[in-house]
Amino acid sequence: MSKITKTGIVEALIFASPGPVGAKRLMNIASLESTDEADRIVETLNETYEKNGRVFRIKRLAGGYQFFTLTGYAPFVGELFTDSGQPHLTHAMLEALSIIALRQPTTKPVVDKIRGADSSAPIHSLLEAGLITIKGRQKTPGRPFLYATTDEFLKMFGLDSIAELPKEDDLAELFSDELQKAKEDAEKAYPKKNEENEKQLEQHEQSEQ
Amino acid sequence: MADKTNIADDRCRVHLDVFEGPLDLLLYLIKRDEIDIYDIPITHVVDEFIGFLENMEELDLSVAGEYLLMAALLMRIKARMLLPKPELDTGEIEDPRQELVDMLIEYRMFKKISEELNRKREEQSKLFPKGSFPDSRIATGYAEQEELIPMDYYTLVRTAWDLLKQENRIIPAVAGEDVDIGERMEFIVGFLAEKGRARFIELFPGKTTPMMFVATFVALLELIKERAVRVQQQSAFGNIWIYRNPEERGE
Repeated sequence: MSKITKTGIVEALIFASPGPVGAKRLMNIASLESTDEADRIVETLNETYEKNGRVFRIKRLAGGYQFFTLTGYAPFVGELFTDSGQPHLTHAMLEALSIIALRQPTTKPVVDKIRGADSSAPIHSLLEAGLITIKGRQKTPGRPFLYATTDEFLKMFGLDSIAELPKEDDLAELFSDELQKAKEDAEKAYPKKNEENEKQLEQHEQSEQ
Repeated sequence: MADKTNIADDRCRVHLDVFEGPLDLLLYLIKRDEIDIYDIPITHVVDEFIGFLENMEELDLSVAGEYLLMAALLMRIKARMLLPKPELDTGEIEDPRQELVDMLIEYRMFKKISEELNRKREEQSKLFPKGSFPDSRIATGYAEQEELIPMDYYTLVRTAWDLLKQENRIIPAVAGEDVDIGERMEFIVGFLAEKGRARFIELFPGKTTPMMFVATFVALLELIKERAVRVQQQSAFGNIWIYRNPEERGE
């Protein structure tokens, strides 16, 4: 039997666990110094798999490590399962989910306002799908429920934490070219009064007199 | 095949339920007419928007209150555009369209994020977790939600009907036409037994009469009720598939 190493222990734990294993858990069992060390070990393991042409990698999802097959094998592995294992998500649900994910914890009135449409149905479906949960009530008139995303949401969307979500500011930048162009157009359409224009105007007036 | 009448129909064919709400409809108009979102020609947009609502009323569909609210907002902006604009403390002139632009931009951003999220989900769905435990995915997955069939049947029927019509595969009703729903049910089950899964449109191999179309849809609903089949969409943008429900799973 080969020598027992920390790397080996981490690999064994992730392999044997029926679900994702948290970095803290790995740290405690394998006596690691920090969760960063767990991250580094997992990185080394993944490099080894890549070098040896293995078809799986360890991925960190919702704060835990888990083995996943590579994307390219999805059509084959998918044949094993009778269904996609995913609930159906409508556009409305995705929109409501995006708003809740970025603004969480947040209320239905906020979602309604941004979407410009009533969001009772999509929010209800998201709750049923376990993608969002009620985090309490807001202390404002009507005391609306506060909604936040769940670990199930992170897992389904392949995220380690909500910090990985696209940021509103980043997206605003995506549109910034358009904003710049709009500003330039506006200036062209409404040129600032410059001296030259005024001079011309004066001359014009004088000549009329 | 796109003759003139078809083009004229096109505008009516875009139905309100395609849109997530009035903001979505406005964004559609802005994109379709290549409008600069920061400089919206309000009169044009008001006319188009109200045109859509009127189309809906012609079709005797109730227009949701939020659309009427938006129409009112657009009218208010239009009116304010005609009045002298009040000057703000900063010396700038307030644009009556500002509130609308802000709403549209915020909504558009979240639409973008939801597309991005959906892409992430599709990527993640191609990664399969190590599943040595039989209950790791199927049992603790979403089996219980399958029953809800969160499917939009209106879209299903509408898309199939539009497609058949486009391909000139709808023929007028035949006098004395005898359509048996039980027979259509058997047809669907037989089709699925052979192919495994089917799209709704595939249930109409040749030409079909309106009666046949309706009967097939009723037959499908009947089969869903009996839990003989289930209808699923892989993603919000994906194909809608009809599956035969396995009698015993994991044989």
